[in-house]
Amino acid sequence: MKKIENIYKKYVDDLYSYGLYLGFNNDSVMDAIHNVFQKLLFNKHFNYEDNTKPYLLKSVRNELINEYKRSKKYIDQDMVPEELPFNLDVNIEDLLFEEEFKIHLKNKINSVLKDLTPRQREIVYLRYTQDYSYQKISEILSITVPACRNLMLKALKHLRNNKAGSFYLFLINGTK
Amino acid sequence: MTVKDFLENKNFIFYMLTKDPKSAKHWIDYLDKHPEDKSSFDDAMKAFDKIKFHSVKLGEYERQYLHDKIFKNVSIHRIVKKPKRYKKLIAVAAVLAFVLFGTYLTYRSLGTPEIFLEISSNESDIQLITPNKIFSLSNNELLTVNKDGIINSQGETLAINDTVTYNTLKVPFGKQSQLVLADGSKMWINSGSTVKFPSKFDDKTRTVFLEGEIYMEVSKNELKPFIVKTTQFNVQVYGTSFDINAYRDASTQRVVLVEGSVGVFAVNNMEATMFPNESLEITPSQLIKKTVNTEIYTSWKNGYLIFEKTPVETILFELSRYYNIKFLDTQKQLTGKTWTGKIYLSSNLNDVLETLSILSNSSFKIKKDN
Repeated sequence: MKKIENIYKKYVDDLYSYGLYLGFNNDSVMDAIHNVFQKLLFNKHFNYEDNTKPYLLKSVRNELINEYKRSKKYIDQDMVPEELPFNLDVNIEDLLFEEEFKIHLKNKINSVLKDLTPRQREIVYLRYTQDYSYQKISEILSITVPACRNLMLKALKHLRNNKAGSFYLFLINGTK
Repeated sequence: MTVKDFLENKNFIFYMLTKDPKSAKHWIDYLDKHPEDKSSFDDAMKAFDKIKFHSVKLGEYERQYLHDKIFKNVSIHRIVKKPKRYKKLIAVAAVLAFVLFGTYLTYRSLGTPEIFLEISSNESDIQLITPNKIFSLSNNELLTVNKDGIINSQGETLAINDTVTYNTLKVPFGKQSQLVLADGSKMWINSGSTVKFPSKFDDKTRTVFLEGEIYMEVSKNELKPFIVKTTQFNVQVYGTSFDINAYRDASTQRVVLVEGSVGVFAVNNMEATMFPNESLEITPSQLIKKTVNTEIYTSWKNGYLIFEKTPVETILFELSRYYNIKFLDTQKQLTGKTWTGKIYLSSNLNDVLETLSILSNSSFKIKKDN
């Protein structure tokens, strides 16, 4: 129990943020975290040593998605996770550049993120802030590793196609 | 390229955000061709690492509130699982009490109320109905569903099925049965209940149908919800222990949760999430949640009933289910009374009637057929 309390203290903020990114309100996210930890307390076989955080992220995510499905009973159940938003807010405060460039950069990053689908943004979040492998991310999202990789490749392709002009321009510039 | 050139390049941004191998290869190739850009590339990477996503922290109050909600009461949950020795002690105490009261009763004057009861003559077997055949099973039969089919307690395969077809298990009054489902989940089926279960679960859910009362220990599978459907409501779980009471003739139906959490979805779009030690009464117009001693609701599977200020009608009604008997004319003497105590569901009806006599200070007589 002490162990689980420590796990709670360590990860509750990340779990809370994750739930909010998925577009759920304060109460739903708190309920989901509550349920996940209640289950943890009764799960005597839980292995604390590895994968605790990905397991918690996955559990909170599933809990929220189930909640969402319940609220929208009549929607095709498989479609649901696709509709969930994943809205990230970039923080550039710590960057050592003049304000103007920082705002410019923030806009650039936001436009890259805006071109992604919510699921692609979710993968970006898990990779960038949690530094997870595609293997771990696919487990959290309950999809296969190839499906996870494909989502990222599609994003890359989309980015290059859209920005083909400037991308090749930059390559040409670079070769000078 | 300067540091800023890199930073505002969308491909660089994408690479930094994802560290995707394909994207990385791109930049390795680029730096191969442009070794002079290596240092600004490295500086850009270092600068980019300072970029974060805003995260929202729980407020101090909410954080503590959630903490307490999760971690307090845990010690109370633990008590639910009594060690076996304790149970034996209760049994011994009950027998002692029984003997004492018995002696006391014999010395009492006559004139205690007499209640007659009738033993039902149409005794039926437990029936397993598969798509191809109907089997008759003995009382307390344990059936196991595995990949080969449905196996009885003697290890005989009763039915072979590799498709998702539903079988029906009818447990009549006076009998009980147990079932281990294809996913390893355990089900105790109370008297007078009918369950429908598949020989194999489909890919998305684990669904069974119930009329009557069962106690479930559901095997954990986060990806495939276990759903119990009754006429009035559905219970959805992922891995937990609970009791469902959904007899057609009962005025209220009930779910009692021992461990884990379950979602209950009733008619009229009513729904509730339950936590351990909660009971949820389901009526057509409302859901009523209470904190309860779950043992009262689940002890039947261990062969005894516990009553705590339970209305006499309820007790007799439950007993009539277990023994397939009918109490006659109980209204006059017993309406409005409540009983507290424990009754072992002995296979000998007379034992039970004696306990009842002690509990109720009345005598029970079996009416002989004319």
